[in-house]
Amino acid sequence: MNNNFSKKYGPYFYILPSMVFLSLIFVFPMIQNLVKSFYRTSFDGGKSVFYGFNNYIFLLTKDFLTRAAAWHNVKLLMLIPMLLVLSIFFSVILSGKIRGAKIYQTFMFAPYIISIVVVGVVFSRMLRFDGIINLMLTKIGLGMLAKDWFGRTQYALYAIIVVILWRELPFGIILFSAGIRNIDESIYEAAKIDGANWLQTVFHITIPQLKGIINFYVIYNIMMVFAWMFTYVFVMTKGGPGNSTTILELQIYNLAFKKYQVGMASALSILLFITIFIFIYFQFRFRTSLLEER
Amino acid sequence: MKKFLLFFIVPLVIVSFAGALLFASDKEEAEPEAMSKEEPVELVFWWYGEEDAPGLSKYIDALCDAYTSKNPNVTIARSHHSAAETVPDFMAATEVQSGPDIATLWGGVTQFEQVWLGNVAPISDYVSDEEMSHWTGRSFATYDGKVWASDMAGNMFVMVYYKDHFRDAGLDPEKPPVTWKEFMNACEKLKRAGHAPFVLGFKGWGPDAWSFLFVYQSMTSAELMEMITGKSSWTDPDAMWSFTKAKEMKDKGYFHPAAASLELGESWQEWRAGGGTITYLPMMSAITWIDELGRDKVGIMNLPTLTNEPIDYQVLMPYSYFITGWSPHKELAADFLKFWHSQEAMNLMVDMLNASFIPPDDRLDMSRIKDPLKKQMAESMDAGFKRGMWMTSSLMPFAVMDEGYLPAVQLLVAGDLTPKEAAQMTEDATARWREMNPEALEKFKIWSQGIK
Repeated sequence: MNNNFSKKYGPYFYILPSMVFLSLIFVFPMIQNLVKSFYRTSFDGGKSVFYGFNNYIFLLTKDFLTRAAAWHNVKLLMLIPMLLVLSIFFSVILSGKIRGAKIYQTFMFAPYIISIVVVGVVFSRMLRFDGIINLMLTKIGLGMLAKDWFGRTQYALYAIIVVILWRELPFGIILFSAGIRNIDESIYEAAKIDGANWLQTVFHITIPQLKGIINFYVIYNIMMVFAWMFTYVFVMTKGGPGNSTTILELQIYNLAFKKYQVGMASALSILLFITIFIFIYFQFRFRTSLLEER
Repeated sequence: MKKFLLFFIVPLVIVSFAGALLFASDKEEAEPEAMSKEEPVELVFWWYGEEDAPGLSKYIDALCDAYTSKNPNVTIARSHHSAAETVPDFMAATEVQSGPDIATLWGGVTQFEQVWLGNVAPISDYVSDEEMSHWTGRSFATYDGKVWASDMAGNMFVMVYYKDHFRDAGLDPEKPPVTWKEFMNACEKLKRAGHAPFVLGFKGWGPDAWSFLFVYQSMTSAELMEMITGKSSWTDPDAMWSFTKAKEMKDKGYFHPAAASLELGESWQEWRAGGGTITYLPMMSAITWIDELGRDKVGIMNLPTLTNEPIDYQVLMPYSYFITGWSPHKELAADFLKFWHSQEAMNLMVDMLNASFIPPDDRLDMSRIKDPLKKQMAESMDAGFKRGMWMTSSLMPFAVMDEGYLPAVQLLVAGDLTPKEAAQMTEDATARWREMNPEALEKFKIWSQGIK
């Protein structure tokens, strides 16, 4: 009986400490956040007043700033295909037998080890209207392309996208370079014997063999776009000009710490969590159906 | 898997939920600790300002040491918070109702929102009326008959210009423009001489500084507050000046070419590097940089007046310190804040900070300030406190700034909005704040009754 009991329940007790720890640092705050999202803080002494779904209703139907922020996050999704294509492209190039590939790899990885704050500050200066980028454009006769990148609503978000691309690309390159190195060399040799050219090798061997990494990278980037953009935006534009680069994370920060609407900030963070969850769920479903097809 | 769910996940979630509900309930008042004078006490003191006044930390240390030498049983644990951290850190403390006994926030609406949220204790419950009658920022920190903060100093802006740029443009460097018309003429001449006439960054909080130039020329602090409460509108002709003048300056090319993409701090550095002629600097930076660049090279001017009345005042934002609602040492915290207004502490501030910070107290011995320039600024700040001219952001809730005034001016400077549209955008944000914060609006109205 005793032996049977320990066999049945023993493993659960082994994982109990980690589950308790996880619940303390993850489950408890998540649920606390969920609970808070149904309350509003009253300016009449700071009392928490039950507010039902009103925070959610307001955010989804009335709050134009949240809608704008969500739209900016959607625009940032264009980073995912750009990062994916460029990462694979550069990693394929660097994996070829080119002289000094290791040096190129080291240089290409450099942006990733620079702090986002430093990147933001440096690019803020470079992309100013009187910054070095516009100066260079003017010097080479492309003055008509010189714009006030962070000062005009039309360009600010795209300028941020370029900076993020520059900073985040090396991670993808290293990831895919490692993946390419793990592909069995004999597959390429067989393809060579069959007369496949370089492009066919890339599309029919390299990319299919990288599917697992592609899947991970897409999920990673979805999370990045929705949950790790705050520092870039906060340092470079603070959401401006005129809220044209406000994103959901910045909106959560402003609601919680500047407007003292903790309930609404909690509701928005729950909505953000659900959005990321849906994206990742469909990504997994898509990948599973692809694997089943194979 | 079912067993796993049943035995571990479900109970954990239930316990977490119960805990979360418990935490969501209303906060409890901290019981004040009764203690004898000899019992050792630690006061936790959060402060801000090293970025604004380099060297302030040394003064804070000296201030705390001076207090401790008089009260040997009291130790003061001080913790500096940067401008970006001050509000989020305090908000985190309010969530757990623990942390500092004395904290700081920008004076005015930022601090009063915390009063209304129940996170601040009234200092007037512990300090006599006679003592507080000397605090020149007292009326701004008063709500519902009680005083809620003690001001360490005030933040003030000064308009400065390069004299050699004026010479280049054929202007008299000793006679800076006084009226708006003269200011615009000077800008035109400076532009023709190849200088960026006015350097002010509009990214981030830049438009806030722009507002000081114009908003108060047409209205008092009390009248500005009426626009928040809905008695008047941002689209009223007098309130439109800050938008129409921004448009005029932009259209004529008098702003620095990168104005729209410069932060306020960056624009000051740009001016310091000679990238423009006139800027609007915080007092602390002005004092330091004028000495650094040479007093014969930099001049100080009043804000250009839109009427014929010269502008003889400065707008201020107080550095307000207060007792937290949860502090178990409220009386002691009040005693420490009161100590800041002692002759010893005020002299210490003037001497150690080289008069770049001035305590707002009518007992301040101005004769200690020998330098005429610093004396002029100190008197200007003193007059600002007495007159009660408060910075726009001290009076406007963050939502109104964040969704209204700041983006409206940014879009105007970027050329995307007309002055009328910018005013309407600010008006809409103000109306939204009123709708979303009915309790805060009522409290705001009560507070505004005491503002001149």
